[in-house]
Amino acid sequence: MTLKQAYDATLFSGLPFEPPHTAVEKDAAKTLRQLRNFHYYGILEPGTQPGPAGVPALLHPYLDLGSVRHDYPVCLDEQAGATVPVQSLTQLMDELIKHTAAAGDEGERLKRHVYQLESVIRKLTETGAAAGLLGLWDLAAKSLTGAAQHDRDKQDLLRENLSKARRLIKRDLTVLGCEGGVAERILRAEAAADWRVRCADWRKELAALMQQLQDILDADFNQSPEARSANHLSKSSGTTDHEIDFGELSSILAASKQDFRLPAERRSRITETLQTLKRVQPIFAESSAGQTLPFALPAICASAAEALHRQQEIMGAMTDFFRAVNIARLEAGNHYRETVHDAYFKGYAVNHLTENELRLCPQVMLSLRSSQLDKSDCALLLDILNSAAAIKTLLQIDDLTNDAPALGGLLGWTARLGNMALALANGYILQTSVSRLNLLQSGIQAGLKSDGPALFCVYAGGSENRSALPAYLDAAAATESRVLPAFTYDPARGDTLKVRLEIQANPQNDQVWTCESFAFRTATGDDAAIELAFTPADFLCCDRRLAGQFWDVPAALWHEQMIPLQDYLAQGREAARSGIPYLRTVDEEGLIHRVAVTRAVVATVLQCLSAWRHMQEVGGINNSYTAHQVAQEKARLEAEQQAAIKALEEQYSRQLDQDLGQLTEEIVQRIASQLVQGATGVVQAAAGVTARIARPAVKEAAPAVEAAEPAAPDKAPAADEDEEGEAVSLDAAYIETPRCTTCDECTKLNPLIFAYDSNKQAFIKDAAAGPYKDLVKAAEKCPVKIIHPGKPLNPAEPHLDDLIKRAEPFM
Amino acid sequence: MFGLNDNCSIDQDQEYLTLEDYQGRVSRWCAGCGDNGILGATQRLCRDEQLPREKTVFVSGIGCAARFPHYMNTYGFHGLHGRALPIAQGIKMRRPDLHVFVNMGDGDCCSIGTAHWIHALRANMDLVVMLHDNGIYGLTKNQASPTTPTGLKTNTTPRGTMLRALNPLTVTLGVTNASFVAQVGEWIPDLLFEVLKQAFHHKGLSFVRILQRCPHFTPELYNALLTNPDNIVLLTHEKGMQIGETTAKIYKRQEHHDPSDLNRARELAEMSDRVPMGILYRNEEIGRYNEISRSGILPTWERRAEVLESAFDRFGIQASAAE
Repeated sequence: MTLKQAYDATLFSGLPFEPPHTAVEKDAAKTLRQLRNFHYYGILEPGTQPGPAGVPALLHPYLDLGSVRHDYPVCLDEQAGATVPVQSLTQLMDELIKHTAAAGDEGERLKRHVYQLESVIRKLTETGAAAGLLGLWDLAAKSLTGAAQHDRDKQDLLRENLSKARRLIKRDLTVLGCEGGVAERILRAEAAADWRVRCADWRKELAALMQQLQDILDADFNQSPEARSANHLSKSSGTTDHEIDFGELSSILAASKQDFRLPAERRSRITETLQTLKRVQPIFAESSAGQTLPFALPAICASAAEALHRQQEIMGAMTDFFRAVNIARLEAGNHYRETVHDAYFKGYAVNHLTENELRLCPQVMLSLRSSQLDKSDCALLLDILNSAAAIKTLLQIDDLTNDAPALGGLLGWTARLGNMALALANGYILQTSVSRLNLLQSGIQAGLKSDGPALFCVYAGGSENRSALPAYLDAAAATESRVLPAFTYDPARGDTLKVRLEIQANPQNDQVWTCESFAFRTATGDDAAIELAFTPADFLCCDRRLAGQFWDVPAALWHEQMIPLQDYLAQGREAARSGIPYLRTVDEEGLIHRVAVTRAVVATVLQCLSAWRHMQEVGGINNSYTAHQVAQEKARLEAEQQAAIKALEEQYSRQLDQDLGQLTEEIVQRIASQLVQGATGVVQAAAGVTARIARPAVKEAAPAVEAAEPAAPDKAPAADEDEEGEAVSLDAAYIETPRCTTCDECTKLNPLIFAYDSNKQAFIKDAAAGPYKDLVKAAEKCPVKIIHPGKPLNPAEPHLDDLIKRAEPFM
Repeated sequence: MFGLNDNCSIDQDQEYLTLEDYQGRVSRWCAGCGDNGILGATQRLCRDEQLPREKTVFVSGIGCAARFPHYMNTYGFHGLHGRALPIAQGIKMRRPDLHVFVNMGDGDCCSIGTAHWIHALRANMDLVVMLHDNGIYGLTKNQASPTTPTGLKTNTTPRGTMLRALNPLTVTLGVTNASFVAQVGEWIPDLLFEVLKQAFHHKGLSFVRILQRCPHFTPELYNALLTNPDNIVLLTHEKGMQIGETTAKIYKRQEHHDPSDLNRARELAEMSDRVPMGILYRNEEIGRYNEISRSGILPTWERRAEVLESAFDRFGIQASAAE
C-alpha cells in the first residue's frame, strides 16, 4: 500500500498532502551546510541526485486536462466560404447547446450529455485520433452510448440528445489539439478567411471591368472582315440547316461600310490589359485551387530570404495588375489619351500603388521556428520588421530556456524577442503562448488587417526537453509565470503608447506574480490553504536540462531556514541572504515536496521580474513617471488646501474678534441704558444678548421612526388578487402550486386530473380527465386548502347541485 | 489560472440528475402526511445541489419518518429506535466525504434518543438533522410522545396528556456547541426548501425541527398556524433566510433576526403566543468533532500492524517462560 492509498483509505480528500512527521536529521548545522552548498554552488553530498520531484504545486490540479474544459482542441473551418474559421470545441459545444433551446430539466440534461461527449472528444484528440469533427463526434457518441453504466431509458435519452445536437452542425471541421504547428494552421485559416473578406467587393468590380473591356473588343471584332466571313456567320447563327446562304450574306455585308474599327494600338493595348487581368484574376476567386497563378498562393514561406523574394515577386505581379486595372478603367470610359497616359504608365512602379490597391495585394506569410533560426534569418527578420512590407511573420518559440548557459542566464534570448521588436515601434506585434487561444486568434486577425509587417511570437510548449506536462499547460505556464508576458502592439490603434500597447491579457496583470490558493492537507491531517505565487522558477523546474538547479530536499532535512521562494523574493536582499528558497511541488501520488533552488534560478527569476516590471510600466501599470507626477500634483493640491484652510481660519478669527468687540460694546451700552431706566430690565437684556452670542445649535436628529406594527391592517382578499395583476377565471379549476406540500392526497385520489411538476408540487393536469366529484373531494381533503375546483365541465354529472354547494368554500 | 475558461469545471461532464433520479421506492406514508412534503423538498435539494447519489446517505431510527431512506434513491441506513444519530456520526467520522442526513420522529429523537441527541449536538459533526415533529407516535398507532400537547387524548393518555410538551428548540439551544437551529412547517414548501438548503450548507450539525401533521392522529395539531398565518413569525436576515415574494405576502409578520444572536434566539424559541419559523441560530465558528479529533497519525498498514502487535504482546506468552 502506498502512502497515497493509505491516505485516501482514511481521509478521502483527494487533496495534496504533506508528508507525515518523520525523524528530523539531528545535526541541524550539517543540514544547513548541505542546503547552502547546493543553493550557492549547486553541490550536493556524494550519492545525492539533484532534480525536482513532481510538478509545481499550482499545476497539480490541472494535470488531467482531458477532464477540464479549456480552449483546446480547436476546430478549424478550412473550406471555402468559412464564416468562423477558428473556434474552440468548448465554444462550439456551447453554441450547439444554445441553439437547441432546450430549457429546464430537459435542457440541463442535454447540456450535460453534450459536455460528456465533449470530454470524450477531447480525450480522443489527446490520444491523437485523427478524424474530422463529425467523425470524432460519432466515435465519441458510440463510446458513450455503448458504456453500460445507464439503463435503457437513459441511454435512449443520451442518444436522442446527442443526435439533436449533431444535426445542428452544418459543416465538418478539422479538430486539432494543442500540438506543434497548431499556430501555423490557425494563421492559415485566419489568413484565408481574411483574404476572402478583403477581396469580396473587389471580385465583382474586377469582373465588371473585364466585361467592359471584352465588350469593347467584341464590338471591334464585329466590324472586322473576319466577323463577316461566311464561316463566322454560320457559326454565330447557331442553325444547322442550310436555308441561309452564309456565303451570299457575307458578300452583302462585305459591301457595307467598315469604318468603325479601333485603332490597332488601342486594340492591342486593351487585349494586353485584358490578358493581364485574366492572369491575376484567379487569386481573387472564392476558391483558387487548381488555378495557374503568376505566383504561389497561399504564400507561406519557411525562410526570411524566401519571404522577401516572394514579396518582390508578388509586388511585381500586382504592380502590373493594377497598372492594367487603371488602364482598363480609362479605356472603359474612353479616357485613355496616349499623349498623356503612355508616359505615365510606362514608369508605373510599386510606389504608384494606392493604399486600397496595397490592401488588395496578397500578403506573404513567413513561418519560422526559433530552434531553426540562423543568423542570416535573424538579420533579415529585423529588416522585415523595420520595413513597410506586409510580411506577416509567425515565429514559433520552441524553447524558452537556454540549453548552453555559458553566460549564466537560464532563459534564452527568444523569450525577449517580442520586446526587441517592440523597440523598433514599427508594425504589429503579438506575443503570447499558444494556450491563450482568444488572444492568439484576435492578435492574428488584427495583424493580418494591419498594413505593414506583423510579428506573431507564439510559444508552443511541450518540447521534448520539458517534463511530461501537456503542451497546453507548459505554454500556459510560460505566460502565468511572467517568463513570456502576453502583449499586443498595434500602431493602427492610435498614436500613443497607451492605446497601442495592450498587456491586459496577462493574468492578474497589476500584480507582481500570479497567485492562487493552494489547498492541501497538513502533516497533522488538517485541511489548509495558502496563497501560492507562480514564479519563473516554477516554469524552469519543468525543464529536464535544468535538473541540476533543483533539489528535492528529503523531509528529514527540512530546515527552519528554508523559506518559500515567494517570501524570499518579498524580503530585502540582506534579510533573505540567510534563507534557502524552495518551491512546493506535488508528485503523482499527491505528496508535497520542497524543492530547493540554486542562486542561478533566483537570478533568472529576478531577471524576469525586472522585465515584467518594465512591461507593466510601459503598459501603464505602476508607471514611475505617472506615480511621480501624481505625487507632485497631490502635494501641490494639499499645499493649496492647507493654504485655503489657513486663510479661512484667519478670516474667521478676525470676524470673531470683530463680532465679540461689537457685542461687548452693545452689552455695555444696554446695561448702561438699563441701569438708567431701572434695575428690572437687566435680566432680560442679558438674556437677549446671550441668545445672540449663542451659536446655532446642531439640528437634532429626527426621532427614530417607530418600527411599523408587524400586523398590517387586513386587506380584503379581492384587493390582494388585484395586486397579482392576473385575472384568474373562477370557472376553471386551479391549484396554488407553489404552496403545495406534496402530501399525495390529490394525486392518489385521481392521478389523471392531478400531477406533480418538476418540483414535485401539484397542478391540474387535465380537469376534464375525471369527474367534478374528484375535484371537490380533493379540495376538501387538501390540508393547505389550495385546490380550487372551479365550475363543473360535465352538466350531466350526477349530484351536481350538491357538489357545487360543497365547492363553494374553495372558489 | 493557466488561461482556463471561467466555466471550466471538472464535474460538468457528470450525468445530470433530475428529481426522479433521487426517488426510491413508492412512498407508503398515508395520503396527507407531512412526511411527503419533507421528502419532496429534500429531493429538490438533492437535485438542485446535484448531490452524487453514491456520496449521499440518509440515516433514520424507527417510526413513520424513519421510512425516509427507503424513498430516497441514495444510500441509506434504517437503524434502531433512537440510534440514528450515533450511526450517522460513525458514518461521518469514517467517511467525511459523504453528505449525511438524519431523519427522526419526535419519539425517536426526543424520547428514546434524547441522550444521543444532546451529545450529537455537542459533537457538532457535519450532519443535516431533520426532526419530523407531529407530536405523536403514529406508526404504533397513537401514543403520546414528549412533544404531544397538553390535554391530547391518546392510547397511553386516555384522560389527556398532563405534562407540558417538550420544546425541542429550547433544549437544542441550551446544549453546548449547538451551531444551527431552525424551525419550519411542512405546509410552507418554499420556506421548508430554503431552510433545508441553508442547513445543508452549514458547516456543523444543522438541527431543523419540522412541524408536521399526522393526518390520522394529529390532523388539527397546527390548525391555529394554518388558519391564521399571523400566528407565525418569519425570521429574516441578510445572514439568514431570504423569503420569496409569495411567502412574504402570506406571512406578513416578520422579524429581522440576526442568527448569530443566541439570546434572542432563545427568547424566540420560548415564545408561547406565536411560533417562529426560519433560522434561529447559526454559528460556524464552533469546532466539529470529526475535524478537531484527528490524531494526525496515518493509519497505514504498518501502523495498524504495530498497534495490533503491541496489543497482542500484552497477552502473549514468551517462549522461554513456557519452557
